[in-house]
Amino acid sequence: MTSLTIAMVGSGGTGVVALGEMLLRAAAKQGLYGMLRKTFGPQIRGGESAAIVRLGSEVVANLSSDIELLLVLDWKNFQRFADEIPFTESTILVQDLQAGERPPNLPEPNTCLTLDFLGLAKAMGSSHSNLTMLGYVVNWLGFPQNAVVSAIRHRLQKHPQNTIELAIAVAQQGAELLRDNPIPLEAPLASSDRLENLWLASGNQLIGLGALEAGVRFVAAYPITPASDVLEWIAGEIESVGGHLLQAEDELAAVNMAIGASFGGVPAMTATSGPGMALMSEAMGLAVASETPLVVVDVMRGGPSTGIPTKSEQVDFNLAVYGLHGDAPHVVLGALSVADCHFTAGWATEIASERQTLVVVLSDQFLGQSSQIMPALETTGFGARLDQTEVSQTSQEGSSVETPPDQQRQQRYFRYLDTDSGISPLALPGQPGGMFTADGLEHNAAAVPSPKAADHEQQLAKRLRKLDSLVDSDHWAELHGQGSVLLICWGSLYQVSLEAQTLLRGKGIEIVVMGLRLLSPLPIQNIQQAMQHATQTLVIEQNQQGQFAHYLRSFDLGNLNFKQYCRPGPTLFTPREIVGQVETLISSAGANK
Amino acid sequence: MIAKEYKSGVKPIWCPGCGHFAVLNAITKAFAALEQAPENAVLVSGIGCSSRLPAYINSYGFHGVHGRALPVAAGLKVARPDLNVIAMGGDGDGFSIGGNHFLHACRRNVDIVYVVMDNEVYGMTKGQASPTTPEHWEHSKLTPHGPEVRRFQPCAIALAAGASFIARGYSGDPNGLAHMLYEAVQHPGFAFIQVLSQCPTFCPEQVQWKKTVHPEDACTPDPVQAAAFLHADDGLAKGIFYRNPRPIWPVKHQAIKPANLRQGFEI
Repeated sequence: MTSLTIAMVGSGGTGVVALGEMLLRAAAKQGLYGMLRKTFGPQIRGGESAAIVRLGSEVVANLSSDIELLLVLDWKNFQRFADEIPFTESTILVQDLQAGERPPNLPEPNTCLTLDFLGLAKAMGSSHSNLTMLGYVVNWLGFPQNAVVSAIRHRLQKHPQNTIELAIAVAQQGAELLRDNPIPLEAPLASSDRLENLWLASGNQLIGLGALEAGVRFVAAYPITPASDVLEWIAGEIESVGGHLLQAEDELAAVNMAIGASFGGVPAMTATSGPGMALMSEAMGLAVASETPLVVVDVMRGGPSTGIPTKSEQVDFNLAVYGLHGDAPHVVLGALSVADCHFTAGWATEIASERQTLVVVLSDQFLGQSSQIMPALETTGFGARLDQTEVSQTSQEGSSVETPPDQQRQQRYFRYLDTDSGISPLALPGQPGGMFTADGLEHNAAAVPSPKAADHEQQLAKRLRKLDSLVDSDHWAELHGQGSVLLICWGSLYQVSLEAQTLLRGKGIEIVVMGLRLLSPLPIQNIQQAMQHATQTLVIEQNQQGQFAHYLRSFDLGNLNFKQYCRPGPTLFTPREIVGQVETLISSAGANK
Repeated sequence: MIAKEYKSGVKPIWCPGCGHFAVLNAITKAFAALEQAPENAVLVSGIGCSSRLPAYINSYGFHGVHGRALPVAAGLKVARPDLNVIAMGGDGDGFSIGGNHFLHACRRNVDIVYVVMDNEVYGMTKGQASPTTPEHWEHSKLTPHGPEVRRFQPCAIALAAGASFIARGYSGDPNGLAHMLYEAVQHPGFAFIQVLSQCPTFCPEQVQWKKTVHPEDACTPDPVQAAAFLHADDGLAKGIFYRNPRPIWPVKHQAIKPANLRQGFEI
């Protein structure tokens, strides 16, 4: 078996998420690949929670369509997760003796093991049935005891030694249960030769790593689900590289603090989710107009308004691309996998500094809060280039600068010089001869406020022009496979689409998967070229209105056309769902002939 | 450099008789007294008549969006502690749209100066009531009965929120204001100066300030004493009222772990 999915459910506080985390870490210790998705209700404790762990002998970058094994500590509130846990009669059910009554409308499982996990733990003076269950499952997976011991030690590292010892003993008791109660399923095989080079990371942590490695040294933070752990990871690391994280009073402050730091020449970012980015959008326009580098990360959650804070949805595309007032050209990137959060955050940092503008990075709750075992990531090589530039000494023809007779300042330095690339020489505070006032008011090339038509046109044009060459970057998309059907997606749907591609290949259908990383400015020529090579194109996204598809249609596609499949969250796209859509697409084309 | 060399030469947009001219002069005088290297000072402002001031000074400046001068200034100072960062703006910018930032800037105590040119009116939008407008001021079309809202007490609120330097100046006394600015820049931590800066266009009655503003020698490091003074204050006392340095943000920590960003991901 190449992969195996284990779901765990229980009411909040039963330790389901801890069980998932320990299971994943034990698997990583054994050289298995895997992924953990935590899913919560809106309450932090006392509500409901579930964890889904998918393990495999090859890299696992998304969840599967199926659940092979369901572990139930407690049936209470299971219904709230029923959408996310596709339970069928072939799912093997392992439940605690005291899990309560199974909800009536579930299919009857072919295999159901009811074991006294809680009783066993209680007999040892513990109340943690998740530990007995951990020992049981890890034993079935064939991991040696040290894998579970190290996972427990890591999880309980801040607890006293006797707590840790007890936890290990409880897990050991759980392991004993397997002898008389085997699970009739094949476990994925671990490989021991990659032990040294595996990482365990979430997308939110990797956003932080990518940004800090690329040179971000100031982060302003306002807590919001599901982006807080980007900020928390950075808070733990940024001082060690000489930077600062400042907790702001609100998102309005956070984004403006980042702009202030960046004006001082220190690469800066903030991270938030939809509601926070809506509040930030005014100042994001300021970053564009004042040409101050800025990275804003949006870990998307269900919307609109407060929406579904703990679930994933690709709903902020419109806000990211169209959400600024005025003509405010900026860059929007989308991370394509948990691992790609690292790459995309690094690239965003570099673009923002190089082009002196705003870069929005779209991630989502799935990428951000799922933990994945992955091959250790190489450094991206991206770096903020915000060093002081030699400021121009020449005056600008055609500019409306009025130079006061007794002042030489405007003659010496044109902060917003209209250059071929649109990028102007940037002076930083502390640099003699470069004094200027950065401004959100429209200004002329010398940074003096100006409402004149010629200045407005010049500055608008340069701010747009400086993004032009981005579409030539090799990083605009990931393209995978060859075939007559082109599947275009972005964000967390890319990895699901790749698995769908593999499933389709098994059915004799070859498709090309295009995962777009550069969403704005859109590399439309590259997309058109790929569409020309395809007989059919399908655009998929996880939102109700087809936000990206509408955007794509706003470009001149000539006689090229595409079909779209979009639906809202909070349930994740599954590979099988995409397979179904591609098959429908192909058969409808056949019917039209 | 002498005071007038700190002017950029860009012509102010202000009305004749505007108090902000005097604030501009006071800043240039303070800079001259401080021997401020122009490239090492940054004036950060929001939106409003007074927020146009940074462009008129020969230093770096940042003219941001309405109400957010303080966050920009705090981010800049934390990132670049070597710079002399002065945030500024008007009463609407600072106490209304930016009111939350004012409270938290007082608490946070980043080492910046905040100058609010308070003319008790929104001048740039042509004369609406601000948080410091008198309750029964009936000259705005937007609030024909007067704002009928209790006035904001900037200095008392700054004290309650934790500001470590609190002063009130007057545009009719630019030398006194220059002295306050000099002291505020020297003060380690968040230094707040409310400047009564008259608006001859929308509040011509403020010409009376010439007679009613009164200097007070009330400076104390004792917050209880300062609170008693500020609660009894008629809003027209002039002087440094409170001065009590306390640890600034960011607090310096001795033991910072060695940089190893990747370690936590390794299995």
